Amino acid sequence: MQPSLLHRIQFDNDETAFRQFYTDNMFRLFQFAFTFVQNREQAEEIVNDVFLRLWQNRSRISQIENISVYLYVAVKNTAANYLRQSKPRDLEAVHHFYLSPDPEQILITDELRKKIAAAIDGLPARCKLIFKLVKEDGLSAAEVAAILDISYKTVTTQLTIALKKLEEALRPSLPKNFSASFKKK
Amino acid sequence: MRDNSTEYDRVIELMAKRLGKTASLGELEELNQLLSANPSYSYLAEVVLSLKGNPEHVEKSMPEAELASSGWAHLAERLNAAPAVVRHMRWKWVAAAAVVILIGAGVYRWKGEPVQTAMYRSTQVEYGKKTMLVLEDGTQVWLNAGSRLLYPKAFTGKTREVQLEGEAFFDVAENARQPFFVHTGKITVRVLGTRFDVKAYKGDEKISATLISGKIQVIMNDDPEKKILLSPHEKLTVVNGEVKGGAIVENALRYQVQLLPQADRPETVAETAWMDNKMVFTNETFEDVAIQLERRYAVHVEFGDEALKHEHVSGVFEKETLQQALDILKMTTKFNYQIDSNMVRLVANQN
Repeated sequence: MQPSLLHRIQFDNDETAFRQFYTDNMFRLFQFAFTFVQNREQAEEIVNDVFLRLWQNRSRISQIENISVYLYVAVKNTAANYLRQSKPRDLEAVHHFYLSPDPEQILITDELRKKIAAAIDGLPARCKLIFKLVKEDGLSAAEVAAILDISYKTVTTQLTIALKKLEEALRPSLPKNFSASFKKK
Repeated sequence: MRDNSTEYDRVIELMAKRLGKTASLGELEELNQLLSANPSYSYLAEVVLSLKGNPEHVEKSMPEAELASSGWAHLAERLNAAPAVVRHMRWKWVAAAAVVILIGAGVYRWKGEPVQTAMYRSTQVEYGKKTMLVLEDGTQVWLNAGSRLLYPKAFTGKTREVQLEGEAFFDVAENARQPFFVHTGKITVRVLGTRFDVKAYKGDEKISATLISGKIQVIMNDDPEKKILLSPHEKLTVVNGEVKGGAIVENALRYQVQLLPQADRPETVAETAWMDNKMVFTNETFEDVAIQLERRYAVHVEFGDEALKHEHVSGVFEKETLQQALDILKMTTKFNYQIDSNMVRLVANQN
């Protein structure tokens, strides 16, 4: 999300810059939209609706305080509109993303990796969504709170729940007396 | 000693805060200590760090590049089909102001090569003074007290690079083809926006960067892979690992990003207040405030009482003399002071 790209979009009507901006941000917004609609065509259409509006209103881009939050909120609102047209559904009740430890980054058995993925998958939908936005999309608790229109405290609480589930999944994998022996020290 | 379940809850709480980028520096340090004391917690932290979208489920079924290109093709049709009404708004490129405060070691090294001083100019500002200069590309720089900027006579390369020790506010001339970098000993700031503030005084314990709007990228010099993109109203604080007495902390724990309280007017933000001759302290330790008083009033501050250093003080100073400023601080914090030419001695109030 480079301001120079946004600047070029706003002041130079630069379509190449707009394309770059789209390419940089499309995927995570697509995933976010997919979370709600679970349909590839619809998710793409929602994201494109949002970008089309951004392009049409490009003269006011600099008034957007946080472009990330703006885009996520726009996707969320657009998705909500789509769902009202078809089947109303609790926006956060669905999810279609999976997180698991990257074996390239951590020494981990395949068994444990699957267990962790399952633990995350088993989280309540909203909790998982919050965890995903913070971990994968790199958003801050404040941004997630603004996007999901929930309190800042709720975000932290949900992250706590996610971490506790992860910790439970890891627990039996440690040697039984491992932590006990350490505590004596 | 701490009860195990209490400790467990605390670790989880701190990790949640770190994930949400809301942990304070003190909390990050506390978490680091807890993690290093217990391997099962540190393993959990590593697992969390390594989490990423599972390719089996996401990327294979929906390849990112393919999605983006087919998505763009569909969007491009719509862009052309419905030409937008171009509204002629007044150019209000609301200050893409990024405030960066870097308090770093400030070692003058330029990628390990000796600086060719003939090609560079150096501007130094004494304590108690401020100055403004315009670089060759039109970039304006306000240098705060006790700061030094090293910059080339002309920006000839692919990038524009300057070296800073101390604090400066930059209004960078827009030129996307020639990115602007501010180097300090500890971190490098890549300017993606236009206006920002950098603070990198020698010997200070923390490096921090605050963005008001726009975007900047901060690169850790000792870990170039570590790049942090700051969003508006975010402040980045980095522990300076080389500081005396400070525990060496893990890389992942060396920084935190926090959200600034919403400020209606930019000048009320502590990080840019010096531009308007203001000093704003919000709940800072007296020790940190004393350092700023030293720079502002060109004095040396000495604490006659250790406990006083850790008192938290708040206040806004604009045209106050040193004596007036100290008197204001005295209203909320119990202490006495003695001024002897440029020496200020702070002592506990004998009550």
